[in-house]
Amino acid sequence: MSKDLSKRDDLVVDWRRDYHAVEKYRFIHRFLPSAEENKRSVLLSTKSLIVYCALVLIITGLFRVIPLIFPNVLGFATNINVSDLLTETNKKRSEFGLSSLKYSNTLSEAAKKKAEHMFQNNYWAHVAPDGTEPWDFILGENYDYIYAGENLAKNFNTSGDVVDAWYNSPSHKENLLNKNYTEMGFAIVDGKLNGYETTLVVQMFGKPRLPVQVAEVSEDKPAVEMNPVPAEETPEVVPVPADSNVEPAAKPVYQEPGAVKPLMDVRMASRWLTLIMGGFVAFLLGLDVWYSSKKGIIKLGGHTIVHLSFLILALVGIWIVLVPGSIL
Amino acid sequence: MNEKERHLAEYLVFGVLGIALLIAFIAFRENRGILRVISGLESLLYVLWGIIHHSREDRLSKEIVSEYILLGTFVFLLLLTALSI
Repeated sequence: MSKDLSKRDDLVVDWRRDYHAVEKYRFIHRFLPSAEENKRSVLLSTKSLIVYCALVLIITGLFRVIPLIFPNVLGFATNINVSDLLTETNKKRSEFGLSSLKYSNTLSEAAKKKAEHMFQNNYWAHVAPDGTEPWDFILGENYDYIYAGENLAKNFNTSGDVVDAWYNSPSHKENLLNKNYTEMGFAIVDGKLNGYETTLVVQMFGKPRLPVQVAEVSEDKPAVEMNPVPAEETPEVVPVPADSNVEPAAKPVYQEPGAVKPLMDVRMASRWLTLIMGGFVAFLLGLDVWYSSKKGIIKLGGHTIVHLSFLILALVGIWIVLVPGSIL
Repeated sequence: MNEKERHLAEYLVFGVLGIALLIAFIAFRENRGILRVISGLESLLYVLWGIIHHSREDRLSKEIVSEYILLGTFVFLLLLTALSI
């Protein structure tokens, strides 16, 4: 027995002298828990967790500062443009045998005014808190119409995603495929809504009043049909409370064709930062659960499976929040 | 309440907290101010859950408290980053 123990001690001494074996052991236990010490992996130690918290704070801070100093490197970018929105909308219409809509500068100007009004008054709705309706913007551009409609979208990354989202919503689809319209206009505007960087897309449809059609309108019949979204689906207006700490909306930025786009979109960068860092720690916790159960390691810390579940729930929550885009 | 039932009740509370977090994230997706408050509360409740659970098991230590605080802070910071952009 004593001979065996001394043999084992010799083996341990030999192993400790083997530089490569020690290095390999150290490397493995950066990721895997240690059976000898009943501890989590080095990368899940208290010090490592402090480093991760600090890293998230520093990188988040950089994401705030870099867009101000180097807007060409990191900023708010989307691949939405008027040309693609027009093409995608008309593509959907052609699938149903409907005529293509013509691009209207007047409707685009009305859409731009609507987007500007939303940023200035901090709301996201068809009808403004002050009661201003989409038709007010259209009529404000001296566009006399028989039929008119409006679709809204925010925070999408591509024109295709915007049109697909509208197409998948019955009330918006009704606008996209309405045979009464002959023209449409768009505005894609960046700004701050409720304190957050937002890209708004406003799509306005219309059919201008023609002299022949005016003659056909009887007096007791309304001369116009207003068709943004069905009344029952019009979401409530969400104005910013007067006493909130939200800064006044900054001047909106219109996306001009050919404008310089940043190399990286800050929203995408933030999404990947949170998912990569959270995913990395979740991966380490998963390894801990698997290796500990395989080797029968009983550690003295908290429940790894609870930590892992909490982190996974948070990552799912982040995914829900960061799935781009909403329509109205 | 025996040991097994107590554990079950505690894990049930944890599960409810987790599901509540997800429901809140879906329900208040457009209101990030509320989501920030919810994230802070969830992280705080997670730390409290860990402390209460381990103290009832008579194995609460400084290391365990710091582990829950750090994990809770890490998750809160991740959520805050996602919600601040």
